[in-house]
Amino acid sequence: MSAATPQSPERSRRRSIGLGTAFLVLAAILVPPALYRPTLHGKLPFSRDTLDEINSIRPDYVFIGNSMLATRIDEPTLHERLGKDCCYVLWTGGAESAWDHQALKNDVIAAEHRPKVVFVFFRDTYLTRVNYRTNDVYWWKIERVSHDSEPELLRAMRASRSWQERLEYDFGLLYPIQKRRETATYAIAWLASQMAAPGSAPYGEPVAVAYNDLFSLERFKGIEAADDAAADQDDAALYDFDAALPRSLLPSMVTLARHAGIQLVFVRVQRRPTVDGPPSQRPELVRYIARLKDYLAGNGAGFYDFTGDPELTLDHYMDGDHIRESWRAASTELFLRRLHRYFQ
Amino acid sequence: MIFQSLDFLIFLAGVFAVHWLLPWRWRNFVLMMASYFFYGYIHPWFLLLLWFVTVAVYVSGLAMERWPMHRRAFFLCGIGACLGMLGTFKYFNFFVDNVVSAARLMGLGVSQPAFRIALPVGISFFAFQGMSYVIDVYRDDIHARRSFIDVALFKAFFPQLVAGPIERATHFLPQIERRRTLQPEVVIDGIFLIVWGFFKKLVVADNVSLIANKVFMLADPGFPLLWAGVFAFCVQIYADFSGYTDIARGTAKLFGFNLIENFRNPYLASSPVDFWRRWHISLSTWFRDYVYIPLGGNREGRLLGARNVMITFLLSGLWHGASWNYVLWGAYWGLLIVAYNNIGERRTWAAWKIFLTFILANIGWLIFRETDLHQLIRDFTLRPTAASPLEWRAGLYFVCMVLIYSTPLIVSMYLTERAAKTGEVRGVSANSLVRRTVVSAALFAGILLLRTSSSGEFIYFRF
Repeated sequence: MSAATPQSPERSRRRSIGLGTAFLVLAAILVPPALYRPTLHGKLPFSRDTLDEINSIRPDYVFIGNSMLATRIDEPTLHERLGKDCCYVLWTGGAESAWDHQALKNDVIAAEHRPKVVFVFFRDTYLTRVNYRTNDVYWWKIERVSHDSEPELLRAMRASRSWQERLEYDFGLLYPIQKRRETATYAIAWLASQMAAPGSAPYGEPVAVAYNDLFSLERFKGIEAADDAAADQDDAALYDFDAALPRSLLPSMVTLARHAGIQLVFVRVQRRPTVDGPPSQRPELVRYIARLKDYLAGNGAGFYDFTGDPELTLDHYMDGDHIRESWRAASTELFLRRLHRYFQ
Repeated sequence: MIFQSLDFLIFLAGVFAVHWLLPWRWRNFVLMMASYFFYGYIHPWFLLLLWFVTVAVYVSGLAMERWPMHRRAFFLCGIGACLGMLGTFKYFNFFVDNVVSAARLMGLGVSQPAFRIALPVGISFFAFQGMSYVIDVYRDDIHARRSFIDVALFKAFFPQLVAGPIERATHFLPQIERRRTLQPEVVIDGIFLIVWGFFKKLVVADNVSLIANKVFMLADPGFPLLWAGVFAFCVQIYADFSGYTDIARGTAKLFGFNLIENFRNPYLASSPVDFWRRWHISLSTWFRDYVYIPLGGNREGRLLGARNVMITFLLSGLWHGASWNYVLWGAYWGLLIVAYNNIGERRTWAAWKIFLTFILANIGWLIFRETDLHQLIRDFTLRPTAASPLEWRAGLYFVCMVLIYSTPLIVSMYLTERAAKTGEVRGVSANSLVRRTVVSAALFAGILLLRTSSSGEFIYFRF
């Protein structure tokens, strides 16, 4: 190895200029996308569509959740059994407790019409995991059901965010250009559809919907793995209900519903069962659910757990924890039977 | 730690600052410790394997020089440690599964053991890198290094630890040993490579993987859908792996290292032999130098030459994964190369040869991607005429999607190939600083706008 040699002032000056250039290059790459602001006040505007629909339909029963709800509850079956316009299913893909809270607060309780019962579908510990699915596209979905000032949401999220989650959130704020992602990916899909079949869909219309039948989940090979929500259950802190509760949005949901005179019912869906029977549950989870049940009962909210239901066998499941489309109507019937007391 | 995470970017910035702020004699130590942190970030116990191989190759190298009479024994110990670890952690489950299947075929009531061994990421890469060190010392291509830190850094250098390029001691150790200085133009080059690598991974590979995954999840895709899916996978695996390599090479440049080139526009290859000169170059040259040539190469006649090609490619297939489809994939390429060597170069249009090689590569990717052999047989017997018009339209739509997402790759391939032919400096580096900055800013904006909401792991991590 060579020995250290003293640097000449000229060499040192050249290096400083070089380093300055490197810094400028990096800045020139990182800064321009941060300057583009698709929304002037920083967040996507609150979408009034759901609120208006609830006001116009005036449902007695509202269902809130994500695909756990959408693959279990069939609206036509509800209408048939309970009457047209009696129910409203409010769901969005991938939503978890933060979205549920905002949807309840800003769409259901803020409506002029008050439903009798609101059912919230959830899995395991997700009611007290505020920051789960609150980054990136999920955050934009939350923005759509949020107003400019949401102190309770921000308090709960701040209280339970890890430093990585905080950074990811701040990164999202730094580059709001990302909120144009849906537009950009749509433009590419539309362009591809025009290349494949010119004139097939005007810009702005859904593309490639005709191919959905080719990819109906019934045509897939067996998919046993649950989605990513099942993959991160090892953290012991998740199962400490008493510690997680004050940091979560659950108390707010319960209080909001009580003040609005709405009966809130939390419905725990069953995870994917095994060939031999219901899914196995770790003891910490069983304790967590028992504490959750006590808490809800003590605060006037309902609770129903489908875990271990003898009618919910593996053949009713499609991928992960989702229910097959062909069994959705029967799943709705099962729901109405099991929770009939709320429909009297 | 994975590249496509904020954790990595913070880690990289921190290591970069500490590395260059410390006196140069501390820099290798800092990089070694950073590499261990990087590798053990999610599964710290994987570090034990890395340390085991490092100590084994370090000691066997020194012992070969200290006791020349027992040189061969120490050589075998070093190689045995690498192969033993690889065999245990990568092939044990495969071996057991096959023994159980064979026993069942013979009517023996053997049950599948519940015991499974987890596959540590990057094991094939660092095992092969370790073996190259032992072989090079044994052959006197290099002398054994006394500095443990230097050998440990060669084994564990974080940018290339989990998915290559597989560095050679002859190329990399001298870079570790020389006094590296901070050269801003090299840092700028590194930044460009990193941005380009992330674009390939987050925009191209991740988006087209949605198509490939969807098609390969179907139980009975028709002909057009299947081949659209294969085409998507063909683009995905190139963008994914070469993207990783670009990020690794760019990151290495930030610390003053120059990693070997791993890809040279493989889909512009004009023959199977040419394809392997351009695809995963660090692995193909490894097999060439340490397997094919020691077996005799093509020096001992056509028949033995063909045998050597087949052995090399079967091993190369098995290196990719403990599954029969990878062995089949290796056999497929071996047969193509044997056939090509015997038929020889034909005079025809260059574009036609490139197209034909591309089709052959796609057939290979189907074998590579489809792990179920029954499904593979079904795939190869599909008739185009049996597909519905809807499937044809959907297949065409997916091909168009893949083409749109891979447009930047196609442009880059064209530019770099042209630059290579005209003798210009290859790659983006030939362009002016301003132009490269503008392109990189556009690529970064492209990443923000077009990346998928969750990025999959790099494909080659599982090898």
